[in-house]
Amino acid sequence: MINPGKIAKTLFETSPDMIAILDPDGKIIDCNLHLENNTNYNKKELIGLMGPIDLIIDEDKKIATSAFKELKITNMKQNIPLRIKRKDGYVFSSIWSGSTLRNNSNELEGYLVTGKNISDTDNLELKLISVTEQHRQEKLAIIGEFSARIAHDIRNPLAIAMISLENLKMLYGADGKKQKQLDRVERSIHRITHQIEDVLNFVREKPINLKEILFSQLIFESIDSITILEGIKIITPKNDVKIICDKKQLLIVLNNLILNAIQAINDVGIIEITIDEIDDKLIIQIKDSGEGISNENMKKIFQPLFTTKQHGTGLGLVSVKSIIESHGGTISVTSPPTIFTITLPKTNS
Amino acid sequence: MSSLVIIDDDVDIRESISDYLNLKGFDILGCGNNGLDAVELYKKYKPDIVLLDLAMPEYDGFYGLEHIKKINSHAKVVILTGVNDEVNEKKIKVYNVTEVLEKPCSLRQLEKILKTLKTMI
Repeated sequence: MINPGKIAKTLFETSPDMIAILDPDGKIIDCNLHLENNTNYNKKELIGLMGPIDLIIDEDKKIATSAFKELKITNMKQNIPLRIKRKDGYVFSSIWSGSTLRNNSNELEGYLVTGKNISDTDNLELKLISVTEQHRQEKLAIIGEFSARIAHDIRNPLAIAMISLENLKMLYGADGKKQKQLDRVERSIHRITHQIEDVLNFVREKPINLKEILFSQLIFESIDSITILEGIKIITPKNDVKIICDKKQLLIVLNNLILNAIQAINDVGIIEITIDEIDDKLIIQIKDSGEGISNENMKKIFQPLFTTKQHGTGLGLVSVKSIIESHGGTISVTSPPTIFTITLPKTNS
Repeated sequence: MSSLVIIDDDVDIRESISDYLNLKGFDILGCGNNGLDAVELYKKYKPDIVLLDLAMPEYDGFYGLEHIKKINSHAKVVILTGVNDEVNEKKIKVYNVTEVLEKPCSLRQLEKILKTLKTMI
């Protein structure tokens, strides 16, 4: 049996592809000879650059950035066409693939990206893949911007409708018939608002604003913003812990998981939230008394656009995972019973 | 009874919030659509509370805030802001604002502001 370390080393050194190892921020920490030769930069010049984003032409930067964002979520991305600008200014076409490198606790340790120089290849198939992928990425980028724009433009009138509806209820709510209609309008507005928020959260690049907050405060605010019907019992932690995080984003996470749990138990049941400190990590768990998640669905649960709900956007858990990972943490799920487990580093660098 | 002046460049936001607070028992003395209106209405009515939007054309909320506080440093101002970034946060803190509400204003936020306003009477 050949030493796997030797195999990896040989592959790294002799592969005809350009290979780079990136740190969790995307900066090059190591690369092979082919990357040096193809780009005309030596290793010293390459280390510290964002790979391969700092090496590509401006027109392709958007494709690269959004592919990177997807890579973080899906852990593997293939056949991204990017045009590299060599040190001497010459531009060539290449096609890139990447995977995330994670340790046993599923924490992100870096990325492995490989690229093929396809400028001198007659391989039409590769060129076709390259062009198709390029179109797909451009379309996704446009859809993203478009959705964000629409969502933003819709939120204001929605809020106005909500407030005016509340005013109507105060003025005419006493009449049972009118109240029924008004309630229906209110429910519909809530549904639209929820969809918009899901899309916006998914599409927006949000910078992390870290502050210290008590976990009990986070839970309180989250539960306060959700309508909890009578049949639902939420058990909150008996202990309290200080947590360093972006409060708004963690609220999105908690709201999402609690709302999912409420739907899983069909408005009647128990949701239990716990938080523990183990070594330098915080472990948060959200358990519900619902039926559970099938094995098949478990595999897809964090994928974009996957949903079991008729009115779901399929974007909630994707955003949740993205937020947790931006905090340097991990999220996983086991079922039955369904328990979402989030780990977060106690101190954030 | 608590009196208010509401300033926002969006007429629907102004009026829906104004009606809401009216129905909840507050006196809306006047509405305006920029920072200059804010100052003039404050001078004219000396309301208990000013509800002030930040992003408005020509004379924005910061203009209104600065000049109202010059007239009365203890003036109670509630800021409505659509953009809650760190730059704005820092600027707002300087002026000792009573409360900050993020737009779009949800019902929950209005209820929250109601509680605050009631404790201020």
